[in-house]
Order: sequence, then structure tokens, then C-alpha cells
Amino acid sequence: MNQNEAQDLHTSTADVGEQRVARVYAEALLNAAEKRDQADAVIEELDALVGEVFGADPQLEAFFSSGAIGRDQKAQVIRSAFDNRASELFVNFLLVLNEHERLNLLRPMLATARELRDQRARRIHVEVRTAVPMPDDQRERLREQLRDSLRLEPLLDTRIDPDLLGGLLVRVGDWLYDASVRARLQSIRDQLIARSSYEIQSRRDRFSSPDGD
Amino acid sequence: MRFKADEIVSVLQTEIDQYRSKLEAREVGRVLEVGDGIARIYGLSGVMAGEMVEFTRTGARGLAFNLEENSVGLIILGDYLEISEGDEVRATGQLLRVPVGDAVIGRVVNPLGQPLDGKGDIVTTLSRPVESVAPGVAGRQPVNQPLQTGLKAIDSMTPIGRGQRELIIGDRKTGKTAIAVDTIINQREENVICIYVAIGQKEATVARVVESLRHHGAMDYTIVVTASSADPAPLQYIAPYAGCTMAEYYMYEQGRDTLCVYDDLTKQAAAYRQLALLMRRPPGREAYPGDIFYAHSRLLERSAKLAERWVIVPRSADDSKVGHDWGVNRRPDGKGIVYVGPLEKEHAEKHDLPKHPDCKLAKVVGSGGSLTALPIIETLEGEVSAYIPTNVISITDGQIYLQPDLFFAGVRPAVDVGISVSRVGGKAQIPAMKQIAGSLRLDLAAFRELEAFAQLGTELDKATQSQLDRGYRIVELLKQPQFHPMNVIDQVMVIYAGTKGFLDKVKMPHVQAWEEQFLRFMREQRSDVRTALAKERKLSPALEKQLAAAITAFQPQFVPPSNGRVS
Repeated sequence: MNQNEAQDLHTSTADVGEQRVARVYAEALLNAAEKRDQADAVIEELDALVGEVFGADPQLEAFFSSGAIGRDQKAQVIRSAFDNRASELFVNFLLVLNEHERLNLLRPMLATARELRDQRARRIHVEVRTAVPMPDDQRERLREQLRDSLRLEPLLDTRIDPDLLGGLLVRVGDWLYDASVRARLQSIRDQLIARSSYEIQSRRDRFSSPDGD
Repeated sequence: MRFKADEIVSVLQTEIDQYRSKLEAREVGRVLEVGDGIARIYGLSGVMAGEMVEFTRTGARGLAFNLEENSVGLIILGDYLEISEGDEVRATGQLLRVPVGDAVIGRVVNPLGQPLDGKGDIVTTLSRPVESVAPGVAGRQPVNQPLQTGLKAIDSMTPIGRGQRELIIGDRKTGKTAIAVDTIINQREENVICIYVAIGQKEATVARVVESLRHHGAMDYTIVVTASSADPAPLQYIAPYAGCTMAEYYMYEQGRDTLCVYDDLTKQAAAYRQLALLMRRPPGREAYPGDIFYAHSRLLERSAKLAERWVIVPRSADDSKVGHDWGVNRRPDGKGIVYVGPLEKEHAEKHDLPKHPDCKLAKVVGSGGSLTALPIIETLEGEVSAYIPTNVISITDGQIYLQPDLFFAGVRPAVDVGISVSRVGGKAQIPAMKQIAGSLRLDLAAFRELEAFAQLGTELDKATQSQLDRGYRIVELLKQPQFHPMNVIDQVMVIYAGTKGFLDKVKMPHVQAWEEQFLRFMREQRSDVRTALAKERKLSPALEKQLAAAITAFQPQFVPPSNGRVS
């Protein structure tokens, strides 16, 4: 599992209750941002907070999630840390979350907000893995074809995975299209094993020579 | 042994020549958490309930069990210890299937149909889905053929018919498995395919059962499916369905009679409870999930006596090949008319057959198979009103109740004939057995009433005493050692002797010796009576007279064993 996948897993939560709550806030944030035409900017800010700030200082996340620290105290920290450094909308969003004690749900909110933003903009994340870096013209062709077949704007997320040996692997949502050399070798290997064991078991005499043993 | 390398090369070459690569598209998810035979998956949003999935890295298979808003709960069929968080899981779009057919006969397999007996791979292209729908009303017919267990106490008083579901219930160590195994051994001459499903048992116990089946030649027509107590709960849970599937192949596709023993469903229920609790399904009574009844009822409902299908064919047609589209009369859409079940057959005989001169009514080959189920339930301290026992009692067509008291008093099989019943099997008994079984039941009932009195030590009048003596002898007569199933004709003869009072003069410890010598006498010296009975299958007055005469002739020849009992 590479780092990106680890992150995917980390932002996805199996807790249905949390997901539902996160969705409500994410939707509200997006709606407010779209009115001011700041949707992408706000998501970027949220991403920066969760990815960079929390990444650099995990204590801050613990501080936000902690129930032991009062709302007023948190509000003060938010104001002093983000006023003038982040957009007004984003600061307000954090303050609202603080009011409702939902600051612990920032990660699922980010995931849901991204998802919603892509849906509204008719975009879709497509993960493309190749063994060697893809030339630009090929990438363009792939984008064209994906656009035609998915009828959505694909956002290519290219990764290098030498294990594939060759070919490429495309992942759209839960669907995986595997045209890698590794998968082909694997399938031919499985077929050969299945075929030969079937032949051997069904007619054992065919493969043993009478003069042996 | 040396291999012919060129042959192997040629096989591989054709396979490579024919290889066409196609884009592999699959729906995938990732393992969020795994443990205790279950896994929770993120992704797989299009997977169907009950669909089989595959763990790409280890090749292990699983079943989609819970479909939730954000995740999918899987039960893992196989080694779950090798699976780790983040592993890829792919949907296969298929239901779980197991191999069926002659390649599996005589084998010991796990619930996925993989061999456990070290006799090599099971090579077959035949398979059936593990979960299938039971036949409906129109597809069935009433039970009408006996399934001989070879046990006197059962064949006479709680007879089992082909297609029936008869529960064997009792405490631990009361001989439940022994009854099932004896029944399987007795099918040697009966052309019945047997499946023995061992669920949650010790491997040593299963090995012993397999060995005794092999020793008595029963593995020639038996499949053993085993999920031992060391196997993960998912395998124990699906084991009875897998065994049932293997029997269904013979019932549906070959029209054969089959017998399926589920040993035992208590453990399967416990395995299912474990899965359901781990999957966080709400617990109900005794912490079993709400659909535990359905788990057993849908399994046992799959046993059936299928209706025979009939078609009208030319008189010259070969009876052994008749197909369902052979009918000479056709529906408006051009399909041949098939008559399903006894009612339609009667209609065909009365109304349709006369319209087609030079034709006959012929049975479609492969119709009319049956699946008899012998589920086993273990009770605790004779508590039949516990949850699982009452459930299964209400599903089955009767139960054979085994009593520890009887077992330890030496009455084996320890069948409590008072509370054991068979709701439909009586219709399937051979007429001769039906004739004598009625008085046997009455004799035993009267005996049990008197037995309580006799224990008080009161003075008894002569009639009462003789009734008591008769009862003791019949109880003695119904004892039967393990692995000695008895032909039903022999059963009729000895039970006849017992109920008609021919044994009253024989000392109680000598009853079994008497039985043995008498049967030998009948086989060797009066085989005419035995053959006539086997042919007629009922006790006509003339035959009854002959049988009585034969018994009277035997009496002086009986040599009581010198030293107590002779087995």
C-alpha cells in the first residue's frame, strides 16, 4: 500500500453516524462558498489545514478534537491563528464547527466536501498507474477516452508503480480496469495451471510413460 | 514415474496459442478491518448480498454478508490470518458454488468442496450454487417410499420416508451419530446416495466415522463434508448448505434418492450466532440472530420427494431415455406436454392417453428423486424446550428422541418410543411392517404403564404379569448393536414373533440369541417363507399362517446359550 492509499483509507471512515454529520457541514460549507465563488479556494484551505497544519503539528488536531478544552478557549485560538491568514468564510466555518463541537470531524468533512465539489462540477477522480512515467500525448489520449466513456471530466491522478511491469491500470471509483503486464502474466499463469492439472487428472495415463519408474 | 514431457508441452502450447488477453475489469474494495473470520470492506459499492468475493493477494474467498451504508461485511471462507488491513478485495459476480457429481463420491471434503482426504484433486466441471431455492408445492409429491434405517426400533415405530426430515435429538453420548451412521451403512442395497455433514466436531470423531463407513463399504456411495471445530465459523455455517447441494445434484439431475445427515445443527447455530454477533446484527433470544429459524428452515425445506413427471410417448419408445420434450401431444406454443405429479398423471391416464392410440405414459428420466434429511440436535440435560431444539422440532416431520437413562440401562439404540414420532413416515412403511407395528406400539405403551406399578412390588395377577413379561421381551428384542442394520423383512419376522407371544417362553437374557438363531433358521430352512414375504411385502392370512408355523417349528431347535448372553 503506498502513501496515497494509506491516506485514502485514513480519511474514509466506516462510522455511518460521523459520515452523515460530516456531510451536512460539508454541504453547508460548499453552498456558502459557491455563493461567493470560492468553492475551490475553501476546499484548498481545508486541505491545507488537515494536510499541512495537522501534519506538521499533530497536537493542534488533538487540541481541536479534545472535549476537555472549552469552546471559548478554542474560539480564541482559532481567531488568533486564522484571522487575516485565512479567508473570512473559512474562519467562520471553523467558529461554527467550534460552536457545535464538531471540530473533530474535519477529516471526513474534507473528504465529503471534495467528493461533493467533484460531483457538482461533473468531475471524477481517476487513478492511473503505470510502470514508467506516461508521455504527455498518451496522457491526453487517455483523458480524451475517459471523458468520452465516463461523460465526466476526469481528474487524472497518475502514479508510478514498477510492479506492474508494463501497461496501465485505471481505477474509477470502485472499478478497476487492469491492462497491466502483471495481470496478464498472472491470468496466463492461472490458466496454464488449471488447464494442465485438469488434463493430468482427467487422463493420468497420457502423461506417464510406461518405461519410467 | 516419468512424465511424457512432450505431452505436457503440447497442452501448454495449445493453451498459450489460444490465450487471448482481455482487459480485466473488476469491482474492488479495501479491507478496513479483519478478524475472527470476518472482514469489513470499504468500497465494493455494487456487490450483492451473498455474492462471492476474492482477496486478490491471498486468493482466499469470502461472502458478502452485511451491506451497510459505508462498508461491506464479509465472512471469510478460509484462512483469515493471512489477510491484512488495506488488502484489495474484488467482486466476482458469482454465488458460492461447490463441485458435485460422481467425482465427489467417496471423498472427504471441506464445505468448499476441496479434498481433505489426500486422494488428489477433485476433477469435475459440474458444480451447483450452495444456496438454492427449495422446490415448490407443484414440484413435490407426498412421501410414499420408505427409507430403511435398518434399526428395528425406528423402522417399526418411527418409520422414515424418502424425502422426509426426521430429527435425531438427544443429550451428548446417547448414540445420535450411531443411528445416522447405521442408516448410511444400511443404504448399501438401497441405491441411496448418502452425504454425512460433520459440523464443529472433533477431527478424531470425524475420522472414526469415516473409518467405520469405509470398513462397512459405505464410502462407495457416501460423501463426507466436514467443518471441524478448528475450522473458522464461516465454514461451519455453510457446511450443511454445501452438503445439501451435493445431494441436490443427484435428486434434481439424476432422479436418485439421497440421504443427508447434518451432524449437528446445534453447532451450526452456534457458528452462525458467532458470525452474526461479530457482524453486529442485533442478538435475539439466547443471543441468536433473528433469522436463525430461517437458517434452519431454508436448509431443511430443501429436502423433498420430487414429483414424477410423465409424458405420452409412442409405445415403441425406450423407457430408459424418455426426455421431458418427448410428449406426442403439444401445447399451442409447440412444447410437449409434461404431466407433473400424481394428480396430473391420473388426468393423463383417464383423458389424454385414450386420444393417442398406440401410445403409453412414460416417466421422464431423472424425475422423482428425493432428499431425506436427518438433522441432529444435541440437547443439554434433556432440555428440548431450549430455543434451537424447539425450532428444529417444529421444522421437521418428526423426531427420534434418545434418552440417556435408556442408553445407560443398555437399551441401545436408546430411542424413547413414547415421545418419538414420525408424522409422515407411516404412509411409506411396507404393509407387512404397518400390520405388526400397530400392536407393537400398543404393547409397549401398556407395558410402560404397568412397569411403574411393578416397581412398587405389588402382587400382580397372571394377565398383568404376562403382559409385563411380553413387554420386557419386546424391549429386549428392539435392542440392536451398532453397525448391525437389519433387513426390513427380517425385522418383520422377529417383531411378529415378539408381538404374537412366541418369545414369552424364552428367558429374557436369551432373546437376542433366539433372534439370531431364528433368522438363520429362516434363511437356511424356511427361505420359502422369507422370499414370499419379501415379494408380497405384506402379511396375507396364508403367509401369516406359514410364518407362525415356521416359528413353531423353530422353537424346539432353539439352543439357549450356555453362559448368559451370546451376541
